[in-house]
Amino acid sequence: MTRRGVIHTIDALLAAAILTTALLYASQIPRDRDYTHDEALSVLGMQTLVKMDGNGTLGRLVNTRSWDDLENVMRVMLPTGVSFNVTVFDDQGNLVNDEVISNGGLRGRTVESVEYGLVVEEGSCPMYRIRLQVGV
Amino acid sequence: MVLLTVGAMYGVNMVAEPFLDYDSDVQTRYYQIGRYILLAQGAPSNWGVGGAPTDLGLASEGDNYELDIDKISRLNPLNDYSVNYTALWESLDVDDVSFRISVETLFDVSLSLDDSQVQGEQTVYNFSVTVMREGRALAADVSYYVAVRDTTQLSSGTTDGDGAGTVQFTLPNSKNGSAVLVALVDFEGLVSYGVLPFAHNSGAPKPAGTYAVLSPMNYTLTVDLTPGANVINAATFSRDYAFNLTADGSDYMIPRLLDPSPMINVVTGSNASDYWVEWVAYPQVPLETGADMSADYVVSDVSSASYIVSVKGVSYRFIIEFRSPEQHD
Repeated sequence: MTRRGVIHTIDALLAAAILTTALLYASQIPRDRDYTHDEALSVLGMQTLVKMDGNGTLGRLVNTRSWDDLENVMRVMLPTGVSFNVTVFDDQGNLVNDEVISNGGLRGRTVESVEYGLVVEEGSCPMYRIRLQVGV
Repeated sequence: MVLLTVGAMYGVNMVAEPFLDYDSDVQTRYYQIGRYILLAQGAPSNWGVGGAPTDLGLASEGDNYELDIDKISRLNPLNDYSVNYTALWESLDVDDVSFRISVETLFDVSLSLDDSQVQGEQTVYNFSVTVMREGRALAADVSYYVAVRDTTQLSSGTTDGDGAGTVQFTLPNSKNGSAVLVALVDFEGLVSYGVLPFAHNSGAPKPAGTYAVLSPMNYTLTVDLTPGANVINAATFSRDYAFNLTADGSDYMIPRLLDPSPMINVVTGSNASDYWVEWVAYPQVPLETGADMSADYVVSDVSSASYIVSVKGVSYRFIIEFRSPEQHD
């Protein structure tokens, strides 16, 4: 074997050792699969809307067009890492919210959508349809 | 080259395995167990007020995801009547699943003492409050209470768009001792709280539990005093109300408020020349109980789910983590 051949062989062995070591080390790094929100997102979304409606907050914020406050409440109630987008329609199906109600747009490999019928106990009891999209 | 190829295949497989081996049946089973714990009352159905559960369920008699105030409080290891993880695991009766439960308020309230000035026979304290959720400031309404010895003062205020607010209290110098500032914060119907012990013309407050351990259960506050300690006053603070508690031996009766608010119970007392203060929330949240899921070799096999639950009309975040040691070890 020539000297050049020996060097190439040693080179290949060293490269193999380095790659193997790196891959084996990487395989030992703790992996957080983070299934936190794999519990049906639609369940989480519906639960959030029901809780907000339960104490009258959802109806009040929608009726007063307080979109920033509605966004903040959603941010507080939904877990960290869940993206959301809320769209409000009136009983005729017309878009009501003139601002985006979201924490930066829907993100993630899974996006689910829930719709919630809202009746506000004020005045003529206006009806709305809330569409909440959640992603993770 | 063979070694390189085999090594690469092994390494890639190890790294990608958790994502490829997504066992949806196992996940579904975990989540069904989680929902059962939240939606069932367990057995006996009133295990929150005494005894150990034979079937684990945290629900109250109210709506779905409305949890029993005492069952939640008894999950807290700091409560004298807490149910330990072994008993909880046995009552769940699912042998191959370990779990960990944590319950927390929906947003954070931070309190700090900015400055104090002695003015004659009184001392003026200036406090600041910050209300945040994951770094996002919240404009909210705040009820403040200060307790020292037999004195209680109250105030109210708001936080601005930066989530910041201030409050000032003036305390008589004659009432020196450890004091406590309690802030109950209402953000669009969601309530959280913060508590700050501070020194009023005295040494720094001792760590919690030095003079008394407070354990709320069944609307009774049990005060477990250390030798030499005496109670001066006991009070409960909520979002809209403050009460001095009535003593029944070493226990104090907590009022059954309709106010949707956590109740912060404060006990002041003396020990020789020290004047101390201890406090506990009812329900006793935040809390963490269950199996240790933090070890490096465990964390990759943990599945968790987050829920919004209610306890007496107040929303909390309930997180439950699952793992099947037999499957992974």
